[in-house]
Amino acid sequence: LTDAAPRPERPVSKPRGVGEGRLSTTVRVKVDRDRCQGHARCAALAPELFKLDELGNAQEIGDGTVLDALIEKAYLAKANCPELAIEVTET
Amino acid sequence: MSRPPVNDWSSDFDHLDPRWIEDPYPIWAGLREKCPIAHTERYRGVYFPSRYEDVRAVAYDTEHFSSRRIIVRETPPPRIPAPPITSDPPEHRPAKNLLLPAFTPDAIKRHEPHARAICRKLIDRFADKGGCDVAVDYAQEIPARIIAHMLGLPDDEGDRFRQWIHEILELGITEPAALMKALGESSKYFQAEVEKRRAQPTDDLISYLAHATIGGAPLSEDHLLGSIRLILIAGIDTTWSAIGACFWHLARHPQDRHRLAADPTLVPTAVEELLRAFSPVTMAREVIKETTINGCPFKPGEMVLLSFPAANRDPAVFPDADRVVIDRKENRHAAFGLGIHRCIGSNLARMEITVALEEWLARIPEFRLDPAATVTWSEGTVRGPRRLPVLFQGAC
Repeated sequence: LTDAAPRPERPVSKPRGVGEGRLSTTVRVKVDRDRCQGHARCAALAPELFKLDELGNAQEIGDGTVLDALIEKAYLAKANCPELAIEVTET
Repeated sequence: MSRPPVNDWSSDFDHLDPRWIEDPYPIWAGLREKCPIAHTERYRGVYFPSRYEDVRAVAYDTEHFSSRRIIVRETPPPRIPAPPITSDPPEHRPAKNLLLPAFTPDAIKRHEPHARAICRKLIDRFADKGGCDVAVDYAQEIPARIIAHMLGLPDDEGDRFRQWIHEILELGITEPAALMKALGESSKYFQAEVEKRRAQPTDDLISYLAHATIGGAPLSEDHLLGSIRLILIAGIDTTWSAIGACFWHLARHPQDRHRLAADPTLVPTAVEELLRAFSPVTMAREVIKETTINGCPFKPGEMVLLSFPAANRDPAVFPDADRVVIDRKENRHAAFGLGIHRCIGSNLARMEITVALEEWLARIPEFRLDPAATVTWSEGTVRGPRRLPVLFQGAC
């Protein structure tokens, strides 16, 4: 079930410029653990970026750094979280 | 049952009105435009927020809106606890955490082969018959068998379970005697199952709950039986309705059907969209403290219908909300609720719906509604087709 995430042709809700040829930009995802209610959409859509704990609530994997190839998935996960618990930041 | 006809949906709605049961979406669209939080004096006073943001606001506000009553009934029955769905903070969290580990995606994945086997067996029964009633012969059987297995109950007692569900969720809205009968019968039935497991533990959810503790104390008998009843009811009716609604759509939309049959990897995305467009579950809350939402005052003692189905059709959140966009990518739908009462069974439901579609489409890619038959819908808390006769390709 988790393998069949849709592959969008373009990023969903992605601000212009993010991850597009700007050197030294780091994109990170972060789950607000107080908001997360375990809908598990992020882990289904972007299993490389999110994992679930023993109750099924989500957290970002590692420090949440998103490789370029996964930026679209990061925004897709954010756009599908019913609790608005996912933040994608660019530094 | 005849009820006084509705004159005005914004001030006199009735969720048991035949028009509401048959096709509520235009009614809700009208309310969103004209009077986004409708009210009725029926059922001793009920509010109906039709916009996503207002549904969300109520769902998040456990201070003013209690889950101790989650079904709008003609006559309020005695308190019927079914933790955690009927629990408010702070009791809610421990009751829910007890159940969550059994319903994570990983835990549910272990039931997938069983779900596939059930679907294949069901399809074997009617594949060469030229048609079937998808709601009766397929959709209603899948969740009933799986949840029975998880609880450790016989998987051929679906008729008994569905009778209780019908009495508790449908008849029980207007007939307290039917509700009390089903509660009495199911409690007695579960009690006997609990006793068996106290004598001899087994590897199932009833045994797990019978031996579980919260803060070092075993669950009260009310909590235990209520949680078992919740898992059984919520595990059957809802997913049965969701699966049925998927087939109702696909039987009438050949393009979507062909696309899914040709590309099964699209099924999980399509399932999310069909869950959005035809969300089965409308919960309720009791107003326990006076408050206002979006300028509308809510009076204590009255109920709120928390319509996730209406929220999911709100064009302010979902572009083209009344259209099924089978590959919709941004889909923050609320079919499984919002906030602390997010459906415990969401991962199970998703697995069952996905498997039910995959297995069917692999065997019967071509089907359509039987033009000679009538589709009927359930009423009240859970909306889905109860009769859905279809013909397979080649038949007539």
